[in-house]
Amino acid sequence: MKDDKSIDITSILESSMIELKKNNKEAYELIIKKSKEGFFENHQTAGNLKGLAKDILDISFK
Amino acid sequence: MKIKNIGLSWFRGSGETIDLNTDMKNVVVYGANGAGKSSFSDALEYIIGEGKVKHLIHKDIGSKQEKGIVNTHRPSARDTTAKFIFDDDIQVYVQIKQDGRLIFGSQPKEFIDFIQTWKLERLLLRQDEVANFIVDTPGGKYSVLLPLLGLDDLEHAADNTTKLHKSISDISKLELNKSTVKLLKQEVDKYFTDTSDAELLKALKTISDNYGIKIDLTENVFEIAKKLHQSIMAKFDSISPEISRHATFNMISEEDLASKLSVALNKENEIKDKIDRLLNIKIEILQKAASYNKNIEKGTTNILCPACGKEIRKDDFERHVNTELTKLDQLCSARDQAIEARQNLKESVSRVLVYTNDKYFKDWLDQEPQSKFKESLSSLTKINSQKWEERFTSETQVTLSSIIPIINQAVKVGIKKEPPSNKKLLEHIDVIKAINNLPEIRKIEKHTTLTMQILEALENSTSKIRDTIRFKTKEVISQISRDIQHLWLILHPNEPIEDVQLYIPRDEDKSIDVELKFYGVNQPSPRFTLSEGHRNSLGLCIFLALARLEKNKHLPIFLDDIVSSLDRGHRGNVTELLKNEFDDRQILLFTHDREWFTELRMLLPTQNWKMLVLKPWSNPSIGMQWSTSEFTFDDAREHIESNCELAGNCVRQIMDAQMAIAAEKLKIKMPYARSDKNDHRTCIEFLQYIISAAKKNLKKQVGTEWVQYDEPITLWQDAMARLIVRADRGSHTGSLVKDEVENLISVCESSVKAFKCADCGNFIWLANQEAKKLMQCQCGHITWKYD
Repeated sequence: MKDDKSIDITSILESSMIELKKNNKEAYELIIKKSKEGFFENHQTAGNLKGLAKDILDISFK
Repeated sequence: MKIKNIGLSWFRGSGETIDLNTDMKNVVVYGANGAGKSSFSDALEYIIGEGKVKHLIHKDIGSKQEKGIVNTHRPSARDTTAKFIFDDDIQVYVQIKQDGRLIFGSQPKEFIDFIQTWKLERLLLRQDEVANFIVDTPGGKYSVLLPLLGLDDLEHAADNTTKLHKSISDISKLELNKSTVKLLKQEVDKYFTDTSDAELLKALKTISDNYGIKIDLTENVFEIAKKLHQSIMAKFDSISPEISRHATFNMISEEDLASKLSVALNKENEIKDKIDRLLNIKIEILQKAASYNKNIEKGTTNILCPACGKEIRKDDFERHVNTELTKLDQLCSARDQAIEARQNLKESVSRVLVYTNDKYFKDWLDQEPQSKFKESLSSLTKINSQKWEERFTSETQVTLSSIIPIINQAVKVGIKKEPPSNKKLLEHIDVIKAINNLPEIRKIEKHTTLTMQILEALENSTSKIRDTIRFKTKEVISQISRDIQHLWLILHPNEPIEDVQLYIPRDEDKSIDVELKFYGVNQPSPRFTLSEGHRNSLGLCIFLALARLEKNKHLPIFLDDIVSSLDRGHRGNVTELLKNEFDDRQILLFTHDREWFTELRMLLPTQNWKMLVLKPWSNPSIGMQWSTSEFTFDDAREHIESNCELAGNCVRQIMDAQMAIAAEKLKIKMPYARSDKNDHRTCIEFLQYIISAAKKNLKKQVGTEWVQYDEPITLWQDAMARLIVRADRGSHTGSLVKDEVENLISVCESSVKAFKCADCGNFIWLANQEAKKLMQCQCGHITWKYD
């Protein structure tokens, strides 16, 4: 569920990742998508974070 | 949102059942230590905390904390239940079933999810939390306040971006890749300053030319390098036997078999002629010496030469013999030299045969072009097995003379075919390897760049989130600080402790402290100057300020034993604060402080506040019980069966507190007593002055008339009389019996009730019109005028 808080965090991420958006759009879009799903505003296990890290690298290097 | 009822069954201190029915009012619950009042707060925490109460955490308490939550004497056929009923009959409950199952539920169904989002820290304050917060570190304070600041989402986000940064760094092996590239680049830098395709091709062509390997210059440079590497490695494999063979030829050559054979043959020839001659001479000498021996006489100076027959001097003969002996010695020497030459040759031949026994050399010999050389070596092997160093036959000499030149010629040819040097070859391989490293270097560099861009983006995000947290924290703590100052002034009016506020120390992350001005001097922490009571009071202000943050305004507040370290004056201010500042919130206040409870009961209006008293704890099977009295005389009743004297003392203590507060509320003027006697007046003394004043001041409305209200005065007089006889510290010396105590309690309880209006149930001092110097109850049927 998307609420006001997740929009705030997504906005912060969007404004912090302008360069990434230019250089690595796939990774940027994946991070923003996860943010909109509320991934960052909730506590995440190490496993979840590793999973996302792997996905970001895979999509970047494919 | 208000709580209508809290029902407990075998939950913590409760027995079969106990209901805290609020009548939708604020509630003050009094209970002596151990009476079980915190069970209600625990129930709230257990439901919001999804099965966890912080102060019960222990390794052996069980996964559902069942060993602490379930009453130890719960009958086997009963469940443990805590149930909250809110307005509109919204219900939420938790059950620990007999079989151990933990069930949360609500009506409506989704309400349980909603209540579990409540921030407990904004709703429930316990005494130990007040004290702990103030003495906690700035980091600890931040952790406590974080959920209250409403910034935990941002904190999660900052933590997640930080941890994601680390995960990406770890999984991508960023540091390892950086060092790998560094090493690979060092290899490239050894041979190239320019890694353009043209330069690389140039190097590859030079190498390929060196080995006569053809390359296709139209191909990709790395494809060429790959193929060239394969060709060179194949070359390297064939080069090893070649190098070995060349070394063998060199060693054979160094043996110089031809020269050694020549020497051996020459020496052999030398001794061959001389030995023949020597044999003849030897025979002749032997014959003539024999004749000479016959002819020689004693004393003869001249003798006939045994060789030529001439007369020679004996001395000459001896010289001659010596000359011949010298010749013989020379011949022996030549013979020895011949033997040595043969031995040298034989040893060399042996070594040559060892050299040629090398695997690579033998493989080469097996090839057709080397058959003659191989045969020669085979012959040499045969000869070598003979002992020609002792007897050098002509046959051996002939054989050696025929095969050694063949070997010599083969060796000369072999030596001329010099293989490429290992060093050069390895260097060429390194150059190709360096070129082959370039695609890997470029790939890793690309990955590293991409990874670093992601990491930089995450660092920026974390930094921005932290900035936002810092900004919002400042905003929120500034708002809270204003409220803290406001509440502090209510609790501590006219005290030289001002400007109490939260702040972020030196812009540190995850850190909050409290600063204030103490007699005009800035203090960065309350620990420096505040007493324990003031610290706790400050903790209470902070909690209440946080509880008032907009988003939680509608939820009830639980205050569990929060004033134990405050003195009477400040406790009174807390009462005022709750009454005046939190009239929009339902407050459930739990206290073991009888005096404060008495004060609260006498001050707080009954239309908004409900006063409840828990009986002293009896046993786990009975559990918590409500007292039937709104007063605290059950504390005294508890001792009747066991100790009537103690019960009597308890009544007096209760009456001391009750009458002190009543006298204060009725503005009874008491004569000044020296030293601390003002603070230790007895209920009897207060009653005397109250009765005296009541006769003038207490009026009751009857129809349209105001008449003296005598009934309470009678009850107070009765109570005073019995207290003098049965509970006065000064006059009472005997021992009480059960009936006397029960009577004393009953009379005293009635005398306290007498301060309340029988119609509205409120105390007669509830409303105060200072201008008229008049107090009255809620309905106004009873008034009290004062001077």
